[in-house]
Amino acid sequence: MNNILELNGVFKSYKTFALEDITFALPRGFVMGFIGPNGAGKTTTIKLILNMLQRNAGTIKVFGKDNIFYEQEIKEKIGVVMDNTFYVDEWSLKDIERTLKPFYKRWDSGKYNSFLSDFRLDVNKKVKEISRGMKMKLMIAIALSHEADLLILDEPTSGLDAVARNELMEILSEFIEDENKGVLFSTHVTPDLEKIADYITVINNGRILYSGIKDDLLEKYVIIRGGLDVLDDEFKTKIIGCREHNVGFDGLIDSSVLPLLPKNIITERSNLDEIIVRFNNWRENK
Amino acid sequence: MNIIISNTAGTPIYEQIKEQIKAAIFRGELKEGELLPSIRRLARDLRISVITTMRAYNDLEQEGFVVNMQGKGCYVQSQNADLLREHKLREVEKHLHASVVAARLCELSDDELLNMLKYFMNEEDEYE
Amino acid sequence: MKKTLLFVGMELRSLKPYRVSILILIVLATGLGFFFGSSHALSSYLMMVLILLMTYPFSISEKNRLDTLYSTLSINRKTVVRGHYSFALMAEAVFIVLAILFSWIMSLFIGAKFDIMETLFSISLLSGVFSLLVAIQFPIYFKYDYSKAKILAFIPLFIVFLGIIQFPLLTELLGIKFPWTDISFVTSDIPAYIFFAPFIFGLVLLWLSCVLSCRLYAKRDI
Repeated sequence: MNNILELNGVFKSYKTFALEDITFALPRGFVMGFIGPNGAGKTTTIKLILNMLQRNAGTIKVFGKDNIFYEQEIKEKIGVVMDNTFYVDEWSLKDIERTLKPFYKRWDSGKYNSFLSDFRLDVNKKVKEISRGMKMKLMIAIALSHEADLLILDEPTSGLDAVARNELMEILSEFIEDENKGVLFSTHVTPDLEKIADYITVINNGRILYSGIKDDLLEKYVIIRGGLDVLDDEFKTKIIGCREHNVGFDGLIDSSVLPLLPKNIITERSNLDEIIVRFNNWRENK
Repeated sequence: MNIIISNTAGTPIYEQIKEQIKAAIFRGELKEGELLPSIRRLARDLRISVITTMRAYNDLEQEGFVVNMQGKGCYVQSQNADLLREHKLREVEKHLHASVVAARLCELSDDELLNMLKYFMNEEDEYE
Repeated sequence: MKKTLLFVGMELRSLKPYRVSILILIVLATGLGFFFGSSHALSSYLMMVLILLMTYPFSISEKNRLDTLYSTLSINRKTVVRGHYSFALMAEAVFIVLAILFSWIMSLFIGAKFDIMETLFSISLLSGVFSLLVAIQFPIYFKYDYSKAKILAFIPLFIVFLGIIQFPLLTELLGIKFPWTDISFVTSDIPAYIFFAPFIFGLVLLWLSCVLSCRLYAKRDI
């Protein structure tokens, strides 16, 4: 399989937190949503991919190549978007181009300017003068102007309104129309991803809970609701993140055990938010 | 051809795409040899996952509605007239069966159900 | 090499917003030098300004998360370190040129004595101090964040500042007659090659410091 990004048994430990055995792969041509609650390890994982952090063990391959050994070559083709910009506040968007252009072999000034005008960004504006949504688009413009093959987005939509989020989704759907590209998109706001993500990797407390095709994940789990009378101990062990209240219960369940369940419970299609929340509750109660 | 996706419907999105393309073939809107929109283009237009679209196209290919030419795209395959009729019959059977199940649930008598069916048949005739 | 130069260019551009304050500092140092009518004092003040300037890139980098920017570019950590050191070397070269130039101008306008050997010795000495300070400070900045490293890195700077400013005062208080404005008595006694020893020694220190910083920054979690 032609993977654009591949992590294998990656470990990174801190005093109070550790990433353990992070393993997942993103095939070329697809969008992967990297989801989990805040503090689950999404940013740490992304920083490991970008060699901003030193890993304790494991391998990370980008475009099939080790991310440290081939760092320079790889970074030529990666575009990074984070929740905040990492340019000098006082730089104008023109300054940014002048500064970054010589670092990239494939930088296309025409593209940069046309993206800026598409996004209604004024080249004479300074970084500190533009809004959050504009900053996100600026980072996208930079990523796309050097013809990145892999986009890595770390919480790009945090603090953005619905309009800006929608625009980002539009840009990404267009980007991935090219089957040689790939997108890793970390977020804790899942509805954005619910539609366009091909793959989903769920991380919780530094561990990967699921990594695979999104449709499979959504089919694997279903939401159930029912009355307390049917909820016995054995049944309860099968429910992920079971919530009991005065007039019933609800939770997530593996769809393979559905036929074994009592008839009088209600089932519903699950969604990514529900999966994150239930798995988090389930872990905390364990 | 239009493909209209509902994100809130109970049926999965790939199923919706598949059914709508099939319907277009049955209606004759998509003719034999016609090229379907490319998987990635359709995914972009509908703002859905590429894999979901692939799955719909794969299913269509397996069921013999389209043929995938490597690197060229998906073409509508010739449909056997008997097969088309067969398919439509199955569709009717499926819905009738669902109606009977629903009727049994609310303890509708057989006569009542038949009357209802007749009523709909009349209405449809008038409409046409 | 090419990437290191590009990096220096980027660093210069990151200083762009501060160019007015940098210029004011240089003018101030020069003015003060003229005021004392001593080319040696002028060079000392210029050196102090430059050493202050050396912390700018680190403070700007922290404020604007430039370490993250560096990690997204197709450069490795060594280039970042070498770029910072190249920037320091460049500043040192500018310092040498400016110091010689101003000393000469001073001799033209206020009739101060301009002895090229003496000036060179003074500059070589100050370059040595500059290199020493940079060699101590930079590894600290590469090991820790700017805000954490700041206090630690400012200690040697503070000591040297205090020394330079207070030295004439101190010698006066103690009653020692140190010819602050005329260091010809030193230069007349020593062979010429010793003149450049502080400068050369400084460069060696910088190189050692750069090797150390490369190791420290390679392990740093950004």
